[in-house]
Amino acid sequence: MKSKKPTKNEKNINSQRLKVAIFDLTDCEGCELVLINLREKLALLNEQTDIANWRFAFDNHNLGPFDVSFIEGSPTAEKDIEITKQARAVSKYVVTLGSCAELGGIQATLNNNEWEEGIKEVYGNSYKTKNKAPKPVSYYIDVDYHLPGCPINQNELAQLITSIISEKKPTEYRSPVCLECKARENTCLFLEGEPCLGPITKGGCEAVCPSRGLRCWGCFGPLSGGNHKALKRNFEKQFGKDKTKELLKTFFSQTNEFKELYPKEK
Amino acid sequence: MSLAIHKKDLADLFRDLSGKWPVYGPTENKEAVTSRFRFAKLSSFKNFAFNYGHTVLPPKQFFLPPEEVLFRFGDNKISPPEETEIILFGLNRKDGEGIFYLDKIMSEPIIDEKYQIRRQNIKIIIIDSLPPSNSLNCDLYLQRVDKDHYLAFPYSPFGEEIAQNPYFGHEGDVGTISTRHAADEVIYHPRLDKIVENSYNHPIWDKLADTCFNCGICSYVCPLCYCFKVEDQIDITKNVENDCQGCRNRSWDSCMLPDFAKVTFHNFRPELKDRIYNWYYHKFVRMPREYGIPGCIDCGRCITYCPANINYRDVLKELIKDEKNTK
Repeated sequence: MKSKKPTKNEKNINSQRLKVAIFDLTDCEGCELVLINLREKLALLNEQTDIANWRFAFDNHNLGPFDVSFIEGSPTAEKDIEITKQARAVSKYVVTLGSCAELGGIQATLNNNEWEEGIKEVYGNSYKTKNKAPKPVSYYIDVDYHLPGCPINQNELAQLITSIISEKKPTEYRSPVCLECKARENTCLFLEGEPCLGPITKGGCEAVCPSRGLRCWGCFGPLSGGNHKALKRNFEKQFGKDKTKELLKTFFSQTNEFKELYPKEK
Repeated sequence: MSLAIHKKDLADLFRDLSGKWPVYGPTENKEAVTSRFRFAKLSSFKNFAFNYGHTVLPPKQFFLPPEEVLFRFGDNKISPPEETEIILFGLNRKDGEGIFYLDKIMSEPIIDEKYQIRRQNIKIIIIDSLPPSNSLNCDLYLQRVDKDHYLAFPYSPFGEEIAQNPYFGHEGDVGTISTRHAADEVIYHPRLDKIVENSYNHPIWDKLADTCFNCGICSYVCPLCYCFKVEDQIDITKNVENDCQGCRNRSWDSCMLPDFAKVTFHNFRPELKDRIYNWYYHKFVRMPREYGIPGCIDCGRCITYCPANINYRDVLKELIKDEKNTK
């Protein structure tokens, strides 16, 4: 059962400093590093908000209520799922940070059966785990906003926080990676025969990978409304069916776009 | 007697110009497989690429850049960013015509102020083997007439000033005017607007919607695509006293993108097929009727950079071929 947003006792956000919590679940903590890398900006942000709970960086472990809870990582361990539900219960807004929280991350690539087999392979037959196969945060709770990326983009993070503080609906308009890539006049890796996912992937990353010669892996997630089917067909001709599925699965495995492309996949 | 410059003097002319202004022009990356040419600041004449064909981004990047700040605000002040004077050196005629058409689009019926400010600050020198056409808005046109000579046609006081340079001489006979093969004329087909307008039920649009990745590259690299989005960006993590908190930003957009036509939660063009048809309709129906010119200079950038291998010339040829059937 999904936990619902609290409707009672909603605070007027402007009446005092925004109370913020940052939770991390199963992940690499890279998105939190992006937050820490705001450096002096983080200090300014801390003046304007009240970071009441942040295991990674602060000693405060306030239990809420919060105006905004940021969740990083995919709920996997029992405790992760507890934290996720608790965060929803005590927060006005829940925002996911990064691909793990929004899409389940690379760790969600395995389906339920593959996940159980994997555990046996790594830990042996006798080991029993209470962990669940990794899922996106939105599998357990309602999420208000997603900040995509692996890791997230610093400017987008500052923008989103500003929008929430000023009670402005964050912009959700996204163009594919190709816009940012062409703006930098990069060599087109797709045309050079690489399985680049740029054309169907949400931009916002400033084409950081293709600008350095690495193809797009799709870490910002599929662009909604993009022509994923056409790209899949093209990839299958170039790289074969298995490889294509593997490529599309890396970051998209838990998305509706992927389920439409592979309806039989569980 | 016509004004001309010898090839060996071009390097000196370039040196003089780049001593006074930042000079931008086509350069070649010989190792690249795709994206070989691009416009960049030229530090020396050696880096200048003659006969570049086409660059990744057209010259519009200088007047309507992919991302720009229209003005900054915060702390009770509003300030437009400063503009600098530059020279665009050695564009070919096609790109020159692209600028002429874009100038038209960005001044009729509404003047785009920001574009005009940038435009006035940028001087244009064209080098091509074709004679100048009447669709040019440049300062100086150099026409290559033989191996060593360029005829010079100044078009503005700035161009006149450069042409008074001692490198330019009056020559009686500088060879014969060379001609290139005429460009594929498909975009100038006399009934093209009618044909495209009546083609909505042609099966080609479904076929295109099956192959197009919807990435919008055809718009980003087009010299005449000018759609943009404007967004206020406010960053509270900036220090108000030293740094403005807000920017009104303008950046490229494309009518091909899924959410382009989304207005107050309603998307009036949700189908890719409609968006592709609209792209052609705007270029080959609306623009000829509004400006008297097609929204295309036939440069071929969108063909070169389309990851799905879509070729507008083939599309138009097919529509022309099937004209009678689709009426």
